[in-house]
Amino acid sequence: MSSCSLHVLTNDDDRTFTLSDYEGARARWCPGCGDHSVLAAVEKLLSAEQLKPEDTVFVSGIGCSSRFPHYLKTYGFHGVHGRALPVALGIKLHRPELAVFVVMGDGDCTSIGAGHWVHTLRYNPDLVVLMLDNGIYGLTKNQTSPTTPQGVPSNTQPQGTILPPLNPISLALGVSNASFVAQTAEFVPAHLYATLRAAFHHRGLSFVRILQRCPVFTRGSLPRR
Amino acid sequence: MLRVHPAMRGIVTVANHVAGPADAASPGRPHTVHRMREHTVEVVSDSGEGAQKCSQIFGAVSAKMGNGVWTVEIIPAEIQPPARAPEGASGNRIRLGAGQVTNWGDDTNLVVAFNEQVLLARHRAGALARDATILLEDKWATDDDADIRDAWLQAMREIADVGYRVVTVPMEERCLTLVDDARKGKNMFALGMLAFIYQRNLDLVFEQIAHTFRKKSDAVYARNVDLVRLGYDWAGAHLDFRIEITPEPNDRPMVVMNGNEAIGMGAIASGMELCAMYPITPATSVSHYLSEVFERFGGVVHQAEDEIAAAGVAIGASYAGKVAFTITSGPGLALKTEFLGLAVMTEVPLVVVNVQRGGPSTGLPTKVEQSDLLAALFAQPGDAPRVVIAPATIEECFHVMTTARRIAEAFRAVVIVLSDANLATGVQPFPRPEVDTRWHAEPADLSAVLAGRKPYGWDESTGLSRRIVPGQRGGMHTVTGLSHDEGSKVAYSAGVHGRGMAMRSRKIAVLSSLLTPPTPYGAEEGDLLIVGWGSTKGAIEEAVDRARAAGLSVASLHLRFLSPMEPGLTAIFQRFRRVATVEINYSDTMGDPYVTEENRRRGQLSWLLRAQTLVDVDCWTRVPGEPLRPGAIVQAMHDLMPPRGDA
Repeated sequence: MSSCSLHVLTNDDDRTFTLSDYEGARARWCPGCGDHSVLAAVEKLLSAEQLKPEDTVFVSGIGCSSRFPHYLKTYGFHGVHGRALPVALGIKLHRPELAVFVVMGDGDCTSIGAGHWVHTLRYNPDLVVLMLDNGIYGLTKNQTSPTTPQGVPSNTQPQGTILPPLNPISLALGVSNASFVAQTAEFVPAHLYATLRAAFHHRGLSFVRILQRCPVFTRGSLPRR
Repeated sequence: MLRVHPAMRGIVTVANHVAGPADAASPGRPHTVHRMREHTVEVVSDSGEGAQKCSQIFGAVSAKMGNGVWTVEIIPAEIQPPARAPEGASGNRIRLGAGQVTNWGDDTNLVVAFNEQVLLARHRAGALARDATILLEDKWATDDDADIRDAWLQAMREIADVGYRVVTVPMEERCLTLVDDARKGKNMFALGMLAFIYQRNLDLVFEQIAHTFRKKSDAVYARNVDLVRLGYDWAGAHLDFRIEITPEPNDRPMVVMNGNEAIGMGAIASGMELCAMYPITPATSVSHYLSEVFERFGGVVHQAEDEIAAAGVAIGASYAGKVAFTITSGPGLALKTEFLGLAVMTEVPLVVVNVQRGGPSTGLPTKVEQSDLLAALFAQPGDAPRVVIAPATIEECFHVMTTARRIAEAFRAVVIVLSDANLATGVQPFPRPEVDTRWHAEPADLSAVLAGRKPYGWDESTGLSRRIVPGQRGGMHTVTGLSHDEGSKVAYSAGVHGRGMAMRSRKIAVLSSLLTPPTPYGAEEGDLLIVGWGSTKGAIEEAVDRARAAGLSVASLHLRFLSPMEPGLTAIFQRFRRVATVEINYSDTMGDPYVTEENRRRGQLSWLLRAQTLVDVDCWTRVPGEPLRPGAIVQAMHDLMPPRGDA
């Protein structure tokens, strides 16, 4: 059982929390962005688990997805590019009773923050780590990321992305001591929610890659359903 | 038994050989006891032969016997440099005094050298007094290898004209009577010789050996004790001198440690509970000390995957509770820069200890420099004001951690503590601190946040605000490195951006207003004022004493706060005809090609002082990779003296 749920069991006040208790600023992602559906699933999870908003922290880096904490009414730490995991680890080391979530993009996690990603997987602290993977740099406008499918044109590789993409799942599985590695997609909401729920209840680091579409830059980059 | 090579004739004093084992209680030959106010000894060996362990134990025992002590490591950059090479010289200098010793002094009076090449290194560095006594392992003179015998001869020729008194010692031969590998025994033999010469209490020596080798077996302890006795007895039987430095009476309980241990201990005393770090010389030993004891005090050392992550973990921990700290050296500070900017922007309190070494880049990893001052203040895109403090003594390394922790908390600021390799590895006794519970950090306030209180509820006149941490009901907000308003809402308007800048900057001015002006040492006014910072204090003040005794009108001023600076500097400067800094960093020398008054790159403190005070502050700086010697500073004072009649 995770320390997060232990904390819920010892809830010492009679508050109950509804979805709106977790809603922060109105999300400013593009219409059709997968981040919206992840946010909805997360809010549903927080409410289902009745996490106290003041005992919940969302830590992010930089990128479209890293605006995530601003759109929740929990504690949030919107830091620097690629480096959400060390901050989250520091919070968890000092305050293990807090429920700590990390939200990163693919550039954040697998490129500039790749070192932190590998090593935090190995440390295996009790964090829920969501990698919102739309296979492109969106905030800086359409540059190839490590997970951009081969051949997809971008502003930095207009003739088509040259290399085959890095596979975050096989990489995570290759890290000794990784304890929860999962993959889901923003466009299968039931699977997304079930995966987030399982990740939350896992004690240790839960790494969840969430496949997403970028409605502006990578339309058609994911297989059509 | 004592072999004398023909080449040493005339420069070697051959100790009279006394047959049979000597008894420590009744040494075999009469000794002249030289009574001294102070004496400086070095032990140098190849890396891995244990000269440092020997010196550390000798230094600690001397401190416990009431002597003033200052030790400096002589350390190669590589773990296993080639044997018998001058660049591989490893060991310590220990300056002993009747009273307090504040720096490593000028020249060494007595050297124990495990081979002639490491001795040459010290000779060539100009470290030895011309009349120094040298206790030198003699086995190399008759080595089977002709190259080694030749190298020995050449070395003897090189030092022949100086006037050293060389006493050859059969260290290897004697040690082999007790151990199979003399490389693992000579250091304790040398310790025994020093214990005889300086009349050290052998019980204290054995106690210190037990402490130093506490992780090793009893057999190791017993063997080391035997080796010390062997060296002690040999010295008693063969040397004709002893040295006595009677300590001045002192009834205060003292502790003895190096600066890095003091920083670790100070961090515990301050109530900080998390140290995040990545291994880097010469900072790492803080974490070695803490890793051994921190858990007993509820603390944890996190060895992060890199320097950047170490800063991130400390920031995350601070954000969620008590102030945390990270320790590093120059290259690590460079890597942490982005995160420090985030801590400044989000006003997450943070303590960063930078144990400076020689730079730029990898530079001189094991050697002292004061070259990170401007980086500590300014290495940052955007305006990111922070507090910079520099302890000047090992005792201050202890106390600075509480100061830093409290300022970081009260001002929601990044506090950079600038120590250096000299303080980090130097060992000095100081009065045992009586830990005050007020030094301790209070537990994080987790009470509910009253309606209307904002995460950056800046007080307009001070820029100060109370932080809100996770767990506080009703205080939920997202901190961000983006420009933000009082409520931590992202806002890009000129007004909000400018206001945040002003509030973060104002805190520094408020801190400055709480500081007291520093007091000059030596005189309140005069011809020349020397300004220093950090570990050079002892050497500068000793130089002031000597120069004043020689009739120079000179004083010194030592700054602990570099950002903000202590107030009242301009008024102090105006009482002197000339002001100059003395620093261990690089500056152009007037007269160098192309260098003019206008383009001259000055010492880092001098640069700051000129900008802050508009006083024409000169500088005398050196980058020798070793602490400054007081004698060299005295010479600099003569050179810096304003000419008579120059008003």
